[in-house]
Amino acid sequence: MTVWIALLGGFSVLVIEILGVHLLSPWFGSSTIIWSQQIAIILLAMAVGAWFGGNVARRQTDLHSKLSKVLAVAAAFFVLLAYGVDYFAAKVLPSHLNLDQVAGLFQVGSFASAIIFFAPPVFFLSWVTPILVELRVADGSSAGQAAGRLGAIATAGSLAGIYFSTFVAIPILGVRASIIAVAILLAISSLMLSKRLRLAIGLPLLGLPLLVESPSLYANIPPSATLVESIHTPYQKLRVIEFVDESGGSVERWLQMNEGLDSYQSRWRSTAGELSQWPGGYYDLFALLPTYIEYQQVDVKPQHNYCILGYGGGSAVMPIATAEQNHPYKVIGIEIDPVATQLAEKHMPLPRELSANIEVYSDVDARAALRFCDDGQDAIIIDAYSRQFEVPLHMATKEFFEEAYGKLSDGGVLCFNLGTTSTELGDNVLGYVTASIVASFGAEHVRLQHVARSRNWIIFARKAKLLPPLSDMAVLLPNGWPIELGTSCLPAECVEGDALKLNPTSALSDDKNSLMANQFFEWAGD
Amino acid sequence: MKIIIVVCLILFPSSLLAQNTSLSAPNDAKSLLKYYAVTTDSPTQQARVYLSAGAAMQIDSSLESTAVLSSEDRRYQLLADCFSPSLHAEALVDANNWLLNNPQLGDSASYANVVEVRDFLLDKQQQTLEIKGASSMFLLSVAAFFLAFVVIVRRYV
Repeated sequence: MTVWIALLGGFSVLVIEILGVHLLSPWFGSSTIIWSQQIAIILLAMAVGAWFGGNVARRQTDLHSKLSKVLAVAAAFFVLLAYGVDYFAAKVLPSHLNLDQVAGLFQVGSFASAIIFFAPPVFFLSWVTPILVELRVADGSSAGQAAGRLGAIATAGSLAGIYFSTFVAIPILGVRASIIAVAILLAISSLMLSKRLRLAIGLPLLGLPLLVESPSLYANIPPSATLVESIHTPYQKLRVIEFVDESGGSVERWLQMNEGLDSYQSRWRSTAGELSQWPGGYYDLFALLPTYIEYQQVDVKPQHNYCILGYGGGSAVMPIATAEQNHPYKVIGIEIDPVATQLAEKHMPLPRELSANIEVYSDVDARAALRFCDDGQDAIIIDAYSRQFEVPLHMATKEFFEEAYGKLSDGGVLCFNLGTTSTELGDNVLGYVTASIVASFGAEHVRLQHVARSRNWIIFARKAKLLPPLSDMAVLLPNGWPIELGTSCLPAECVEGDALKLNPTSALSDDKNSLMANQFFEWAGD
Repeated sequence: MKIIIVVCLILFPSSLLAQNTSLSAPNDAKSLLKYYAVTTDSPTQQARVYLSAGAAMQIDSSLESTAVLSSEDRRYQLLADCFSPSLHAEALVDANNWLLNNPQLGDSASYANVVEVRDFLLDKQQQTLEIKGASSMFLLSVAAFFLAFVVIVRRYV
């Protein structure tokens, strides 16, 4: 019994630590800062709990009874957190927020939720080991041996908790059901210790509220949107939402991650049942790539090879296909989360005739995958976000851009999507990422194009050849493309030439990289 | 994985932008770039065209060449500022000033447009207050929780 309880204590703490972030993510996101905060609060609760637990173990006489009560209280807090976080966040958070408004609020909100809902059960579970040590000592073990063995067993339980959370709880049981299951295990252990096991018959009732739809499904949903499907994956929470314009007969769907708000991971539009060639937003700018690739090339390339790092639902493909017209092309898509691609295939399908041109690889990190792509890529699109506003650090360094440079053909183009609150180059995210690209490609080969009506910039960088001058774009673009594509080619909406040479920031490197802090303070301070 | 932040600008109906219908407004990327290359329009008219294309930075650039800004110029600048959330507080002051300084335009579409913009910015201001209120509520909840927790632990532990 001692071994089981030590194992269960370690297991339960890690389940809270990992699943707790998944409970928070629909409301507050799961940025690195929120993860750090969650780990810090759990460790703090463990430290304070162990301190109190040690005192309790020394003072109390009936330790079996105390242990039973501690497990019962921890079980009660598990039940509370399984349902409480959603209702607490739903009650306090205002509706219809935009991403640019909320970074600071989400930081405070996730901190409060973690303190109120996650710290108490961990605090009480941390009493378990000191009490068990005291029991072992009372049975004749040495204190050192008891502490060592029970510590090892609890750590083994924690290890099991990590793998249970990632491979069983999130993909199979569900986050809330798993937390309730752990609560039931704790409660049964408590009843076994107090020898009132027959009461366990009523414990499945704790799961009854699971039959009620969780408010987190609709967390931060934009106004006028309806939910199509929502799912937790080991990487993130994903959902597809839909906007229907009944008068125009158009449907727009967004694939959203974590806190959602007014941002999307992929976008899909259809009118009267016809899929739009232009998903809108920054995706439309990818249609410029064939023009940039072929500019001043002696011979037209027989086929254009695209590599998309951060493929998501494949929204980048339609503008490319439209721009290529009948020219052969091939797209390699890299998407770390296979569920994102599956959800998009289900609710945001691309035309079947395009599938022969597309290969998608999942469950692999984009930078690692790029190394295995063939040389001679004509375009590498980097549209990768590890969380809502976080460009992965290892995909914004000069070393990474050097690797991408090496994979491009002569005249090939790197294309980087950057969502940022920065509007000019400086000591900010835009400045650092641009400096890192310029370090590999050279300032004369780089252009930043602002995306109309958004905070996104697309950074184009061409290997060994110049990008077409903006003054030529009126001639180079075909008729009928969205006016916003023209907007992104207006001089005041672009940054290039001397402005890039005056960028005061230095390139990020794999060894020294301030991007995470820059991103957080930029969004939180806006 | 992707991110985009759509700046919500649904409050500029095209009827309000189309003050001068004598111009053939660009309707695609190519015609917009041609317009930029050869335009002989006044900066005010250019601002109108760029606004409809979502070119906020180009509006400012276009109006920089205007020595004295008319009320229409200022209206376009105001609309351009709405594209950038960090300028919303400043834009609200400008919108109120515009309405104060142009009572003679009371019945015009331009006036109605600025009223609409002002209301949009007031909504944004209200949202900012709600966000501050929610932050305070989270912090108060933590304080109340700590108090309750300490009392309970001292009482029963």
